[in-house]
Amino acid sequence: MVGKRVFQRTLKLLFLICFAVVVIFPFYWALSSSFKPESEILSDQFVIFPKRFTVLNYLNVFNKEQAPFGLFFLNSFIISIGATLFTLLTSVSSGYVFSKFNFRLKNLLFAAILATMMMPIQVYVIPLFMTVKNLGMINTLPGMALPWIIMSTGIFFLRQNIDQIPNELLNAARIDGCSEYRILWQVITPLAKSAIVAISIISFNVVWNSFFWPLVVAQDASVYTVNLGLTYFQRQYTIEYGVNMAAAFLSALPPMVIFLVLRRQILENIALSGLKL
Amino acid sequence: MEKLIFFGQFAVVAVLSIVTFAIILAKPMSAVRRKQLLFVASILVPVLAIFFIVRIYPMLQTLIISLFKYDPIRPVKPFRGLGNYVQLFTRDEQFQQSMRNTLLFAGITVPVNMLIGLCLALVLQRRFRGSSFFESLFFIPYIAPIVPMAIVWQWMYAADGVFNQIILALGAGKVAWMSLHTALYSIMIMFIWQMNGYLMLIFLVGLRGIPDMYYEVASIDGANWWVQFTRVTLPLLRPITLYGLIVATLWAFMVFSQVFVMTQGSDVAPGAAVQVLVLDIYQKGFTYRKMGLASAEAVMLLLIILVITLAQLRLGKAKE
Repeated sequence: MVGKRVFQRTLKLLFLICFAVVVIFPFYWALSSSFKPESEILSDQFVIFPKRFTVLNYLNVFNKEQAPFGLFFLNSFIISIGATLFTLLTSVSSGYVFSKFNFRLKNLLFAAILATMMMPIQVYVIPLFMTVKNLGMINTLPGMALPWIIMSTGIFFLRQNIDQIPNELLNAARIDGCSEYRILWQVITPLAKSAIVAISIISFNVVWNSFFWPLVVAQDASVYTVNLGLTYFQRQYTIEYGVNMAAAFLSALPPMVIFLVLRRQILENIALSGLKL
Repeated sequence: MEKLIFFGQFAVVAVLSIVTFAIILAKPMSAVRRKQLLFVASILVPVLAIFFIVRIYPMLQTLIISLFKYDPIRPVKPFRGLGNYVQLFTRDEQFQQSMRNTLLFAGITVPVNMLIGLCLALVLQRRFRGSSFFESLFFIPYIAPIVPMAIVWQWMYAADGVFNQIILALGAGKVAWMSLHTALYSIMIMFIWQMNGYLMLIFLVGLRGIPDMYYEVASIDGANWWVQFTRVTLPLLRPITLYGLIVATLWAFMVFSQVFVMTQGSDVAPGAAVQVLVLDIYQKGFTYRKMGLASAEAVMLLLIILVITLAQLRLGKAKE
């Protein structure tokens, strides 16, 4: 009986380790290739560790005149952080209003917001493109961030979270003469902190990951995000795979670092709420 | 017409905002209530205005544009009625090919993804030392951005990429991973690798939510593993399974970045063999400037998503 259990456990662990290797291999391969000199990359031999270790590829990522990767990083950070701040502003404030106030059409408006939750940007990209063009925001960073300054999931999640805050607390603040804006800022915001962190991570990842919309809006390299920059590298006549891997690894890093740091919180929030990332 | 449509949305927003504030100010009510409503309006009016301009209005416009022959640089935009839809289904080989490809993509990735996710979750169901490590590890591909990972995979699939290196080392011949006939399947493998972690996680949440009591009762009754799985686990997992099914299906119908990135610069770029729905919308609308036709296709996508989401609501309700 004991023997059988040990056998089962070993089998289980073996299965998990095999699977883990498959899952991790592409990351490992990108990382190890990014440290290989070009001569080692273009060979038919399977070289698992770089024989000659070089950081030249990483230097080359930032040395391209036609494709300034440092700028692409900056652009990606600007639109991801900018859109996230707006998303927080709109989510927390309207989450509070939908949670703690009653007014006519409330349920209808909330349902309208929820109804669009599943709709991807591809469905309405053409008219949105024309609106952005008419606003003169084509080929600008604000234009690239525009679709993400509001997020149905954020409003929904914040409302659910603020529902948990007891009304007595808010009434106490009101009796003390707090204005609603101050309650929003000084009572709601600190109490909804974990929801705010969750939504920030999701929003940042969504924008950092975005590709379809930037592809439509960006027209020259000055506003490229890292994702667009990567495909630009790809279109070069001579593809330098080592440089490509270094660039790919660097641009995958920010969301992954956030995940590794806030792992527990992210997994728990998804576990608890079925939030989609 | 374009100007009218453009200014129309701001006019609608302006009128609705003014009416809202006018009603609040004009209607007889207590001062406290009025102050409260003014606060509500001061938050919701801007939020809903943005929401209207970046979501609702573009969706309505998609419906309208799909009825026109719409080239943004031509001043005349002739009305075609349902002509664009008729064209899609009768003459547009490109669209029909991309529809077939997308259906194939969904038909394969959805069941495989669900099955692998469920298997992993079953293995990880009972916590043990190191289980949370594996959970996080399997979730990492889902967290990693799509485009860089697609570039990594494209290179692994290349003629002298690592997959062929391994195959050569094992003594077999090279495989053309990104040829006309194989590219779509290679992309599916990458897609499943990338998305699976999420399904694993939600299955895990579902499995761990099943009280131990049920299993204990089942074992006392002498139920073996398979009976427990089919009589206890699967029925109780039904809501999660349904949710996972919907999510996986939506992903498959919306696939774009992987296909776009991985077929660039290969033999198949961007040939009909790997054409998928969203890629076709992009090319029609922004490469060939056939925005009317592209909008009609976007409406088809909208309908598909709507049907899937409504099916979820229906099925979810039916069993409760």
